[in-house]
This record gives sequence, structure tokens and C-alpha cells, in this order.
Amino acid sequence: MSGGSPSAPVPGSAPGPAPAPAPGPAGRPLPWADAILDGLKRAGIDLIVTVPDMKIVSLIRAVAADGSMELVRAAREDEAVGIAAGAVLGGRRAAVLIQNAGLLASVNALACLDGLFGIPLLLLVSYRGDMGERERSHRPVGKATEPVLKALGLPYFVLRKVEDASDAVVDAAVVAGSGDTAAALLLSNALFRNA
Amino acid sequence: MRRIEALRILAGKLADELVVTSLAGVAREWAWIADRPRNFYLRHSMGLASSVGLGLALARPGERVIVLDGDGSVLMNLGSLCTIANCAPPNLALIIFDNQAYASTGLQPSATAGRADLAAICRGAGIGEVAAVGDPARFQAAVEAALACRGTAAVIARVAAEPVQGPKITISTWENKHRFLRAIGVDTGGD
Repeated sequence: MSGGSPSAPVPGSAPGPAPAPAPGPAGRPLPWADAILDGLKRAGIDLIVTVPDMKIVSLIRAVAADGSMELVRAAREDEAVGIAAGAVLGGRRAAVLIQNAGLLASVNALACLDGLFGIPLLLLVSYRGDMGERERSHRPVGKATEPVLKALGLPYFVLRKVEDASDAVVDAAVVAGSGDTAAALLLSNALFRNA
Repeated sequence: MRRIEALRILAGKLADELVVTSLAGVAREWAWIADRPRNFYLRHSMGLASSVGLGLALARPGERVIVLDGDGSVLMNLGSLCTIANCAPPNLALIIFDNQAYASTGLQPSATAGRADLAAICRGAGIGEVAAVGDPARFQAAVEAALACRGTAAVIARVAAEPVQGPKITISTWENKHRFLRAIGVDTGGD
């Protein structure tokens, strides 16, 4: 692709002055990212589709460095849902790693692709605008996030504690599989702060 | 060239490829002339056929995946072309029927009726093998090349804007999914 590069900014990443969570020493993933990675492995997830957000950079890096899961970088979040759904139809176990603004941008894909056909899918969503959010601009999306998940009828869990992370990933993957549904984990500010 | 005519040519070339269709006209016409267990008809999520096709192609490296799309749908998800080009699955072919219109809603013009050029957009996205054709002989040659291609291929087929041919799709989405999964031997783990 002429003029492009893998490190170019991707639509959907959060702008603004908030500091990105620093990677751990010597590039090691932060503990919360390690815990989620552990859960993804226990859940048998083998393909991650992502659009980056500052809060989840450490997890994206952890997935890339680990190398045991295929990592697909999409341009937009509803596209990510489509790619993951297609991979599941092909026999893979897929998760989507996005910001909650992207979750809202994916409502039609979740309702009319994933929901209509009943495709099990794990959604890992940074919960911008939740308790502890310092950026005013994320509040509108934060307010809408849980009501939209409820309106879609999707099971979800707000993850705030590192010690819950691995099991929560496994539990969400289990309910996605048994219910032929998407299931979401909302990764809240407290999780990143406690890392 | 009529789309139904092109679809009949394509149907004559397929064996066990996985086919994902966009919604509306292309899905109905393909279901009418070539219904088969390895077809997956998107019914409502306009624009996502190529994304679903990419996911399938990544998941099934030993099989070829064909996406049947339309200009209006592709225009809704242009970023997908860039993602596909960067992933570069060697087993994915996009066949985009460009009738320059939203035919199922009454032939309102799409951007390709104006200045947009889907072949140039595909090339610009980084897809290596791109053909733009407008008659049956060239379509057949382009399809044969796409099916033999060892990279991601796109065929832009210019077709007439006309009302959708064939009956409505009667298979339920649930049955379509399970028939497809059975055909390719996948168990998603659900009930």
C-alpha cells in the first residue's frame, strides 16, 4: 500500500492528552494485560481483531509479542466484528478488542450479523467514560455503553479488578459459546489503574 | 452485461468454494441459480460481506473463499479493502457487481455513477490482482484468473441496473448458518 505503514494512526484510536498506560519494564505487558492474555489462552481464543485504543495498547502488544494468536488490525470496529464472525464460521475462536466508541459504531453488525445468525464472539472493550475517566469527551459514549449492550441483549461484565480478569475472559467466552451470542467484557479505568 | 448472466457463468466455474454474498439483489439471484450448502447469505448487515469473507479466508486457508458484493455495499465499508490487502489472504476473491445504483431501493445512483472508480479504489487499497470487466467473455476470463490466483483478487464487474431477478430467499438465517457449518465441518460449540 503506497504511503502506508503499519505504525500509521488508525481511525478509532483515541485522540487527546490523556497519557497512554506505559508498557511494563523492558516492554513486559502490564499485569492486567498479562491476566487477560492468560484468560484468552484458557478460553482457546486463536484470533484477535483489533482497532487500537490508548487504554488497551498494552494488551495489543502482549498479544502480538506472545504470538500464539493471529492478530488482525481492522480499520473500523464493525468491520472487526465482521472479520471475527467470519473466522468463527470458519471454525476459529475469535475475540474483538476495541474501544467502547467502536462498540457503538458496531451496533448494526452486532444486531444484524452476529445476533441474527447467532455467532459466538468475545468482545473486549475499553470502557471509556466510566468511573475514573479524566477526559470529558468520553462521557457521552460512557453513558451509552451499558444501555446499548442491554438493548442488544448481550451478556456483559464490567471488569475492574486484575484478579478477576482471567476468569472473566473464560466465563465470557463460555457464555458466548453456549448462547451463540456475542458477550462483552468492559475493561474499566480501575483495571488499568490497579495494574 | 446482466448480473444474472455473470452469476450463471460463475456458477459454472465453482466446485467446493465457500461463497459469502452481500444482501439484496446479489444474494437473491445467487440463491436462485446456485443455492448450495457452502453459500452464506448476509441478509441485513450491508457492507460486511468482504469482512466476513476475510475472516473465513483466514480461518480456512485450505479452501477458497469468494465474496459476491455490490457497489453500494462496498462503498459502505471501504476500509475493509485496505484490511484485506494488508492481510493478503491468498485464498480470497472479491467479485463486486457494479450497477452504479442502489437497485433494491429503486435505482438511486451510487457514487460509482459519479466519479468513484472501484477498481482504482481496490488498487489503491493495495489489492494486487484487480480486473475491471463489462462483458461476459471478459468476466469469465477474470473469474478463471481470480480462482487460480495465489493472491487476493478483485473482479469489478460492470452490470446493468435492473430490478432483482428471482424469488425471495426462503432459507432462515439459522438454517443457513447450520447448513454452512455442517458443509465445512465446523462446530462452534453452541447447542
